[in-house]
Amino acid sequence: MMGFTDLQFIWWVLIGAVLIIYAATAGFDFGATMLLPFMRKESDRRVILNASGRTWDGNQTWIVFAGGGLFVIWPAVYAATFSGLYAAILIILWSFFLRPPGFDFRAKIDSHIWRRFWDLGLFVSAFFPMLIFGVAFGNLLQGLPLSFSPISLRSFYHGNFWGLINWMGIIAGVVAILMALMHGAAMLNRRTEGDLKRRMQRLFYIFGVLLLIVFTGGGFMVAYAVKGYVLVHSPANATLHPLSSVVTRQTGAWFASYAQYPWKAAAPIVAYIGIVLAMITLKLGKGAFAFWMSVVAIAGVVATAGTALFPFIVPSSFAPAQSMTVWNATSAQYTLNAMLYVTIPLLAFILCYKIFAYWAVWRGKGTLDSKDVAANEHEYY
Amino acid sequence: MLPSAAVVDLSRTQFAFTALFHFLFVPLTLGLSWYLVAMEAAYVRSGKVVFRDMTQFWGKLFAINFAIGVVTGITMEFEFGLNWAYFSRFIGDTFGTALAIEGITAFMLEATMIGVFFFAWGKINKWAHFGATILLAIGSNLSILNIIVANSWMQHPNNTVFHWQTMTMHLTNLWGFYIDTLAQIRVGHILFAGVMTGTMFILGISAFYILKNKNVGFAKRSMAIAVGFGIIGVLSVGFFGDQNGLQVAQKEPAKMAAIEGVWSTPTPPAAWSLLAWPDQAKEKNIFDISFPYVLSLIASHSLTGTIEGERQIIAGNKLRIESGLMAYKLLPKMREGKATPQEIATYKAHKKDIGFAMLARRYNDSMTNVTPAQVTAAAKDSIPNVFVTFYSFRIMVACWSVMVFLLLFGLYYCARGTMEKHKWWLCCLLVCIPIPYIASEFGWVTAELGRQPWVLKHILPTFFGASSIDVASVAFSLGGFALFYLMIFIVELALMFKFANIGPASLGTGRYDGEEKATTESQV
Repeated sequence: MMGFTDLQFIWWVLIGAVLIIYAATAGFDFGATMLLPFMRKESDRRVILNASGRTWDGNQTWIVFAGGGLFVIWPAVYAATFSGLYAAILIILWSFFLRPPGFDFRAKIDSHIWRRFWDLGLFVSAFFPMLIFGVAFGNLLQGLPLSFSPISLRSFYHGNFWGLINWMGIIAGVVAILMALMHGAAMLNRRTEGDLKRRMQRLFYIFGVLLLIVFTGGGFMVAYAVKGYVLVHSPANATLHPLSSVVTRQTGAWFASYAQYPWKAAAPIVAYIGIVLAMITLKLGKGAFAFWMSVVAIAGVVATAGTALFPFIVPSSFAPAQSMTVWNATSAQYTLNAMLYVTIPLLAFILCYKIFAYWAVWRGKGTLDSKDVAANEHEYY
Repeated sequence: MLPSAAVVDLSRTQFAFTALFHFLFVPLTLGLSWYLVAMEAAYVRSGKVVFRDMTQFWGKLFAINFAIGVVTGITMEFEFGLNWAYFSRFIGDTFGTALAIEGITAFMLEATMIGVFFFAWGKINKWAHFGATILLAIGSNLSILNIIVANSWMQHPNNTVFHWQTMTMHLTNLWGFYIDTLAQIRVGHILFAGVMTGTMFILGISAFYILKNKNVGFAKRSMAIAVGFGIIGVLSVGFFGDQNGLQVAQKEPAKMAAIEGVWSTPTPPAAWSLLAWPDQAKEKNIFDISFPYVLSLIASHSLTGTIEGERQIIAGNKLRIESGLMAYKLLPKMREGKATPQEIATYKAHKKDIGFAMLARRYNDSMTNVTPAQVTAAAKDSIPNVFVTFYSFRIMVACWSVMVFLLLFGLYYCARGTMEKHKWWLCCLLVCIPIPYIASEFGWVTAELGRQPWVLKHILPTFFGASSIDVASVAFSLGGFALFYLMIFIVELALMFKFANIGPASLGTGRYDGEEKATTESQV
């Protein structure tokens, strides 16, 4: 078996990677469907729907991977946050309900009201989950009011939904939405033709610049206004017993942790480079390359939030000593090890068939316009 | 502080509702996916366009069903954390592995391949497309395999140990999880239940076309495939069901006694009650209609076997609660590191019953001075609701018998080539589309209510596993789920009826009844 702390760290990286893949794949579907209701022509809306629709289901499934990963690797985190953030999780879940019918059922009835209803449904199903994911990260940076009972280790949440609405939470939520919009525009620019493609290019610049501004603003908030956490001491072999760490709180602690872990700085640097390169390459007419740079940018943004917290996963503002960290919130060594051996080959397999799937559905010219949709009236969304 | 009884009841209601609703869509996905494989195999081998049309048409209905399966499936994954937080933290190390592997292997595969299935017709080589369809079926079926492995572990936990330091279950052997006999038998049972759902769905809709005298050729071909699969399916589901019964009799005696309405251990050969009126309070059947010898045959495949009655089980559990309390009382001291070696030895002797002690937590918050009356009350809670378990099981078996009957006729008519001529049989098929759904739903009710009061058998009581949240939250979410699911259900039924009614004409090929003849593609 591999060393316990190695496994704990590897799993922190892997779960972060899955969240990044989710943001980078489902992210463009979210962005595309947020733009959908604002298109004036039904033909444009159907192009957008089909550009996203052929792979959306597989992209969305990364959230199931992430959820399953949380459950098995960090059970305490999964249990305490899902039950604690009950209302927020329900908003995500209920918004998702509109998504599969929105894609699958919209085209099956030829009625203006029916289709406009699902346009709105698809917007809601993209906007609210993205917003809540962002708000949740914004609140993780400030800690959640969690505690555990001493004997049975039952988790309690000493707050409510409205407590999540604060400046840092809102800024992080806006970052998440702008990120999805930018990425959606990059994908649609790559996959569409003519006028729609040009409009998407303009939108990409607007959202990209806004993202740069708000992301940087969020950084200043974290440096000067948010009380971060410092893990002073963690007992050896503290697995799933989050009661006895020594934790202090001070403003700017997350920024200060960059001195302790210099590698954390790579994340925001990658984010800035990604956004800027995407803008330059798009100007040069390299749509596919710009899309991949947008992926890099998203990886940087998500990683910035995740690494800033390290080694914390969920700091507790109610009882800082009971914060959940990479070192005390994992399952036991056997499970981490067995899951790693199962996951690595499966991830490789997933990568192969994902490439096959993208290749299969985009085979040919690789772009879509209203003529293609009209020619496949009975098969397409 | 434990969650209130209202929170527990509402959480259970919500979980039961969302799980049963989810399972209205799962079996059809499972079964129909193999039909898509069979139909596309016929197409790639023979090259006949009718087989491709069959694949695409049944695929359309598959997609409508699949969309709702996805929606309701994500709910299940979220709900463990939402409403069963204590349970989730307690079993993440073990149960979580199977659930995560499900997400990584199965869900991902089927969700990716469904896009290829619909959007890559004509774009890629037909063999490559066929490969994608096979992966779609494998993905769907791997999904239920992992879920059943996880659920079977809840019915009969093994390959795991309890750790008091962390209050969690630790996994000792991942492979052991998957090769567990109970799990394998139940996987077989459910896979073939899926085949049966697909069979009855195709038979019923095809019968409708024949009765309305449209697309008769298309419908007959579909039916012939369905009768063949169906005979294998209905016999296999029965075989695995019978094997499952043997396992339950051995490993889950309280469930077995509830299924058969047995209150006192009978002397072999034991009689089997076809119908009875079990009375939980009096711990006896008010009346029953029974057949001699049959219960011994069902439970042990011999005349010498018997099953333990609920009264004997309650008496045994009372002793286990008392034993478990000895261990539970020591937990605070052990947490502080102040337990003497003698106390640690006591804990070790009684730790296997510590879950039983938790049953008493309902009646005594401090757990230090549990009275004999409280132990008796807790012991009375330690068996499932016999009435519901008894009848759920019988409804499931009755549905199965109806399907056997219909399929035997189907086989006979199919062999004689006269399927389209038997109006009464076709009408029966049409009205029997819901039969396999009813069987699946009541099968789950039997399995899950029969396990109560445990969420993890003999280790964690259900009420202990619920999240500590307020009643208003759960009441609100239950109402929301009911409303959303009702709307989704109406939309999905409307679309199903619409497309089943239009039939293969919905493909727009111009080859089927009810559409204008087109000449876009020549007949092959």
